[in-house]
Amino acid sequence: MVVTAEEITRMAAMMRVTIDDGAEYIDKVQRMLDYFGTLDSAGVDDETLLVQESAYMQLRKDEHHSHDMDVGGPVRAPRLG
Amino acid sequence: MDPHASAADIAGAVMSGKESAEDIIRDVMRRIRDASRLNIFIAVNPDAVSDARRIDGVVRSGGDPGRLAGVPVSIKDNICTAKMPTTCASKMLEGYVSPYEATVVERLRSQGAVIVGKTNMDEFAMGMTTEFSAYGPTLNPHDAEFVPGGSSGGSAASVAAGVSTISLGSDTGGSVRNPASFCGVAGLKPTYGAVSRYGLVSYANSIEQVGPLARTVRDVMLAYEVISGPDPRDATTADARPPDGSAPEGAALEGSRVGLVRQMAPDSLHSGVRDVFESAVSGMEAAGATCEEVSLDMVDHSVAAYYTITSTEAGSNLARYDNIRYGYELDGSGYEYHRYVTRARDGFGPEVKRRIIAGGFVPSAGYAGRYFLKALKVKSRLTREADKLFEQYDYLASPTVPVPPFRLGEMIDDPVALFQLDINTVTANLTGKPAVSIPYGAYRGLPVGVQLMADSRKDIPLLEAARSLEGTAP
Repeated sequence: MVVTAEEITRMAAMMRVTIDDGAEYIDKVQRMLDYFGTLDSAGVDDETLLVQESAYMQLRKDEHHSHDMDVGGPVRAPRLG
Repeated sequence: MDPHASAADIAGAVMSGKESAEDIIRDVMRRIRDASRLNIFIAVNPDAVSDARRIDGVVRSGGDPGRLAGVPVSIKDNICTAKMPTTCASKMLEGYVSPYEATVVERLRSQGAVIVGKTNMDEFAMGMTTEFSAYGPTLNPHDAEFVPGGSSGGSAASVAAGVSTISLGSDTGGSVRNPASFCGVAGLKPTYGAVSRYGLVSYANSIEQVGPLARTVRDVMLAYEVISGPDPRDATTADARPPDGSAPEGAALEGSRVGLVRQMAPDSLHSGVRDVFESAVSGMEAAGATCEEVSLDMVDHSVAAYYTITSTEAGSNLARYDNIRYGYELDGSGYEYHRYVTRARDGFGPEVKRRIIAGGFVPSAGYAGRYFLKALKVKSRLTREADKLFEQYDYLASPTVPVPPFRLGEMIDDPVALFQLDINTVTANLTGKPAVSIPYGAYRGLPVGVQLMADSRKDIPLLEAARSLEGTAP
C-alpha cells in the first residue's frame, strides 16, 4: 500500500469530509492511490513539461472595477488574467 | 413532429410556419413525463412552452429566431441556467439557482433553442455510469436494466429517448463520448478552448470542455457552430473555426490517413466492441481512407495520469462547498466553525468524497513528486506523441469505450475498474484535442460507438469525417 489507513483518515479530516463506512471506504481510497502509484512505471522522469506561455501584455488588465451592480445581482470577481 | 427529427428539420418547419414551436415543445414536455421512469431530468423548464410561444411570435412578425428555432435542447445539470436549478446532481447544491447563464446556454437561446430541462449526471461529473447521482441513476433508454454511461448520462439518454434533439454535456475524460456510445447517439469533445466554460461548474478546469450530443453528427455540428468561439468571459477560449466557418477542402474521410491506435484496441478488447470497430474500419476504407495501426505508448499510463490530475483539481475546486457561500439548509447553531463545515460536506456522495481525499494526497508534501509531477509528465509525453502522429495522420480511430453497456450496479463497487472504462477517451482531454463518438453498431441490442480524434482546432474537419463514417454505418 502506498498510504496507510491512518493517513487516509487524517487526510479526510483535513479535507473536511467524514468517512462513513470505515474499512471498506478506506480500502477503495487506498486502491485509487495505489493505482495512481502505477505512474512510477511510466518512465517519464526525463520528460520536460509542456507549458503554455502567455506574454504579460496579452493578459487582461489587472484593474479595479467598482461594484456598481444592483443589490442581488452577481458579484464581480477580480480579473485574474 | 417525429421525436427523432433533425434540428435543421425542426427549425425549418418552425421558420416556414408548418409547425409551431409551441406544439413541438408541448409534445416534448408530454414525452418527458411519459419517460419519467428513465430518470433523465433533474428539473424541467416550467417556462419552456412560453419560451416556445415567444419563438412563434418572432416568426409571425417576420423576424428570424435563429438556426435552432423551436429546437428542444436539454442541458447537463452542471451548466448554469438562470431561473432553473443547477445542482450538479449533488445534495450540496440542492435548490441552487445560478444568478447568470452559461455562455453556451445564452448562445443556444440566441439562436431560438428552447431549453426543456436539466439532465441527470454523476455528481459533479465524477463517474462514468450516472449511478453516482444524488437523484438516483438514469436508465439506458435502449434497455432500462443497463447504465446509460456517464457522466453526461442524462444528456445522452434525453437524445436517445427522443425528449430533446440536442443536449449539452461536459467532457472531462470522456463524459460526453462515453454516454453517447452507450446510448447510441453522437457526441463531441471539442478542442480545449473552442467552447466557453463560463458557467460550467468546475471539476477539472485544465482539461474539461462543454460538448454537444445529438442523434446525428450533422446536428452535433450545428450545435457546435452555435456554441463555439471566443468568449471574453473565459480567457482560455480561442477561435478554433476555419475563417469562413466551413470545412476545408478534403476534410471528409476520402483520401485521408487514419491511425488505428493499438493501445486502444488491445487483444483483451471485448469481442462485441471489436466486431463493431472492425466494421467501422471497413467503413472508413470504403469511404476512401487509408487505415494503419499506430502506437501511442503513453495511453497505457493515461488513465492514472488523468485521475491524478483531476482528483487534484477536484479537491481544490470542491473546497468552495462549505455551506457558507453555496449550500443547502443546515442549522449551524451549536457547531464550531470547522465542525459545521465538515458536517455540511456530508452532503457530498461517496465517490466525490473519495476523489476529494485522493485529491488531498496528490499535491501534498511528500506525495506531489510521486503523483502529480509524474502525471503532468505523462500528459506532456502523450501530447508530444499525439502531435507527432498528427504530422502523418489526419485522424486517430478507436472504439469509444472498450466494453459495451453493462448492467446497473455491475461495476459500482470497483473504482479502479470504472477508471479503466476511460482508457480510450482521456487522451483527447489530456492533449486538448477534439474527439467525437459516432454510433456505429450494436452488441446484443445495445449500442456501441466508435471514436475519431483529430489535431487541435480541427473540430470541423473532424465532424465532416465523422459524417462520412456515420454514412457507412450498417
